Amino acid sequence: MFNRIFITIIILLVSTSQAFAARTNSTFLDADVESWQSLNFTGGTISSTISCGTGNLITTIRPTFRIRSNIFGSNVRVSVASNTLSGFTNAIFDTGGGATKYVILTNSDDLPPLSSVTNIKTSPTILGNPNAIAYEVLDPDEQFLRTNVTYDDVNDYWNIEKFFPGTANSDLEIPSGPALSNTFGTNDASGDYEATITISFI
Amino acid sequence: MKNKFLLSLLAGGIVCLATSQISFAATSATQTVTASLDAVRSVVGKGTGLTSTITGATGALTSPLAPSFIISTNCPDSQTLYMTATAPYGVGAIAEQALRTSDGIYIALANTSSGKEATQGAIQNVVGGSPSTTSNGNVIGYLFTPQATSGNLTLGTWDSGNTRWPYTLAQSGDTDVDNSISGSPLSGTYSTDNDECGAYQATITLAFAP
Repeated sequence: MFNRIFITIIILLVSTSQAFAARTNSTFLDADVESWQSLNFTGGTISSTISCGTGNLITTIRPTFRIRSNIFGSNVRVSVASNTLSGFTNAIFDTGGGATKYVILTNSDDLPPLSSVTNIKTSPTILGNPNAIAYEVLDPDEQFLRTNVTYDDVNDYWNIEKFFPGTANSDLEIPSGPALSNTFGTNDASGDYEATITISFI
Repeated sequence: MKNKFLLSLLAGGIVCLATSQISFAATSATQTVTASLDAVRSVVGKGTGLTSTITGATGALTSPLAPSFIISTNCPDSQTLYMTATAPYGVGAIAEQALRTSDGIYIALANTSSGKEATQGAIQNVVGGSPSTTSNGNVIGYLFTPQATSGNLTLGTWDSGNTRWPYTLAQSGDTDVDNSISGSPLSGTYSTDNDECGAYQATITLAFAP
């Protein structure tokens, strides 16, 4: 008798589970999230004016950018180039040991020869660098415990290390103020003086 | 059926997430910054060679005067400047056009010492017509040599209507404009009877066309 009851219960249980199995299902989805990184400029101030009397940069230029990634240890290079008659060339230099950095803006309406940029980087003379003007530029902003900024004074660019997944913001500031001595003169033709900033993962 | 629908929804969501990650995963970006520089235009007097002495017996300048300028501009395009000269007369030192160009180029220097000021008529007598010493007391005419055409600086023809010389400049940087006043007085403009001792002056102006 007991065996019959037990067998009946087992049959009922099995049949019941079979009935449920027909109505539900379990599927395991395995979606691997790949590592990704993203860079983009987010605005800030990207234009200013130069005093035609003194060569001073009237207002600060400060383009801002954002680094996003879902990995630990992203590395971003920040470089700046200016156009010349010989093409684009590195526009950043420092006065030794990475102490003070300068950016060279060149006249996009009347491109200078490459020698104008070279003259400023070596020992600027007022007649040696037409259509190129240099201004101090600050290191990109560092975010506490998020990013670390270093300057490569051999190749003249910055590296930004972002420690953790997520978003980090930074900028490159060219403060208002005087041009580097002997880089502004009346042989700098009127026009738009430009430099192009490139940020890229390395 | 319901499970298949849920499964499709989930799978579709994953596809959407995956594609959206790819779409904004830019690995580099560029941004150009610009600072605009306007035209620079200035003219500055060199400030040297502005005084001399007139010999009492002959009226000749003992050393040349050199009213010269430096033009500074960052604009390489063609630009016009005008040079004018005036001499003061009367107590208020009112300016009268002081260049004579009919038979050479001369400039009238007028006495500015108190009580010996020139008259407008005396300056006009030196500048135009036939000067006579009795009509131009306290005004003396001297040879004036303006900066000649040089490189990209071109001296135009005398503009009698506006009593000025036009210059055309077609280069950037600094450009010298060296003028001189020298020599013996223009005939009929100096006499010890009519030209009193004192400081004789004229003002030369070089300016960009407005």
